[in-house]
Amino acid sequence: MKKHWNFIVRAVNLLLILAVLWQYQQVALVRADAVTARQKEIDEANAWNTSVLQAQQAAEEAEAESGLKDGTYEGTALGFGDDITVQITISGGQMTDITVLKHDGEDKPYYTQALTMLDKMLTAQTGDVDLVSGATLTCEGLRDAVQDALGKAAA
Amino acid sequence: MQTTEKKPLTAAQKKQRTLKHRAWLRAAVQLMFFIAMPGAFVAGFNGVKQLFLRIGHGEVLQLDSFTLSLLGLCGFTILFGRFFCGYVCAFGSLGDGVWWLSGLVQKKLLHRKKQFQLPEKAVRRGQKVKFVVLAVIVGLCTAGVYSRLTGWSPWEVFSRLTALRTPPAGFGLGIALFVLILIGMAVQPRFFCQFLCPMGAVFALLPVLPFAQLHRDGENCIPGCSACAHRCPVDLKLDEQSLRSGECIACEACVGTCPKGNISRWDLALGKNFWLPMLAKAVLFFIMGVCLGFCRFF
Repeated sequence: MKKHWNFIVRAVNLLLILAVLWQYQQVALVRADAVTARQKEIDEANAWNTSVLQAQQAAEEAEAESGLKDGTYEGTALGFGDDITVQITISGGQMTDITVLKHDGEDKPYYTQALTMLDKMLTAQTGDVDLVSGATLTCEGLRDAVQDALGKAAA
Repeated sequence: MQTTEKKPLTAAQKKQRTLKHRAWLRAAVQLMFFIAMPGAFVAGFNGVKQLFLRIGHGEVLQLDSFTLSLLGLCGFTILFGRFFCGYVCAFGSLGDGVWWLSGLVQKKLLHRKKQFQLPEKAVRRGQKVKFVVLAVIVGLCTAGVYSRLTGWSPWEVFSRLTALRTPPAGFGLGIALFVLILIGMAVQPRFFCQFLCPMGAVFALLPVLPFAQLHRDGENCIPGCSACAHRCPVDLKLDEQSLRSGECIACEACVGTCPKGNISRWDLALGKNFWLPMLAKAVLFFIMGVCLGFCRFF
């Protein structure tokens, strides 16, 4: 034992160093994983940003095509009982929002039915979509009001 | 016909002859490795630097070629002692060469009887300097400033020279240090190895297996002899209790010198031929070196 004391001390030292390195390696691996995950998030965010930018660019090109100017426009048309006034929002050459400002003359149940048209209008980018049966007059009023507003946007 | 009968050699003559053969064989092995694998020591120490550079950057450790070189050299040293230092390392061989040349000059030109050598006390102190060198380099690597300090390493200057290229511009400091080290090599055997070599510091700290170390049977010694210590390039007296036992570069200069043949190791005890274990280790290291890519030729 005493004879090999030197060897034992050195061997223990070496093992300690190796243990520390091993521990370091474990920590480093966990860290590297975290860094990779973070990098992935960053990449995804970047990709999303790029796609948004591309979409914007595409929208601008679409604006040039659609001929609609960005902004909000109001349109009015006769519905069932009275005038219906809508406000549409054009953004990037696309109609992105339709808000009904005035629908005093409409009966509520019909009006609620007719509102389902608005989503179709946004998808189709026109007021001229299929009417909801049973609420024809309200629907026509909404349609014409939106078309009126779109006409202003195109001007 | 007259036959001139050869006189049988006396025991002393036989011993002298064996000593000479041993020295020549060692020189041949060193020269072979000097030509074939001059970059081994740099690759091994790059493993150390790489390790701490990675730690400094918080990177994951990798088993790349430098790390494998380091592991190979350390593993070989643990199994066989510092055979690498004594027989393979090109910088060590350079030290031996300069020391031999210096002795030749002093004997033949200056007619000195004994070659000048640093006093023992200075040698023992100097041997601790390499640990400082190692600690500083490790510290610089970990702190991440090492890579900015180019041009100072005498090792790199030397490895350029072994590649038969002149050291690149900006290596003024490295060249100056290299020249200083050459001068040191002329006044002390293995000057760089025992005083400055950071890889030597690593080796000196390794747990060389007890049976792989040279062992001196002290009880059989002639009182007050210390022929082995006189012959030893690193001033060892082969005392296993001594912390300095890690300094032994396994050159085996003591083995042949001991008047009583008191110095042994398991492989030396196997047979009468001193050259067999030496060559066996040389071949073994050569194979390992080729696998690790140390060899210039294949």
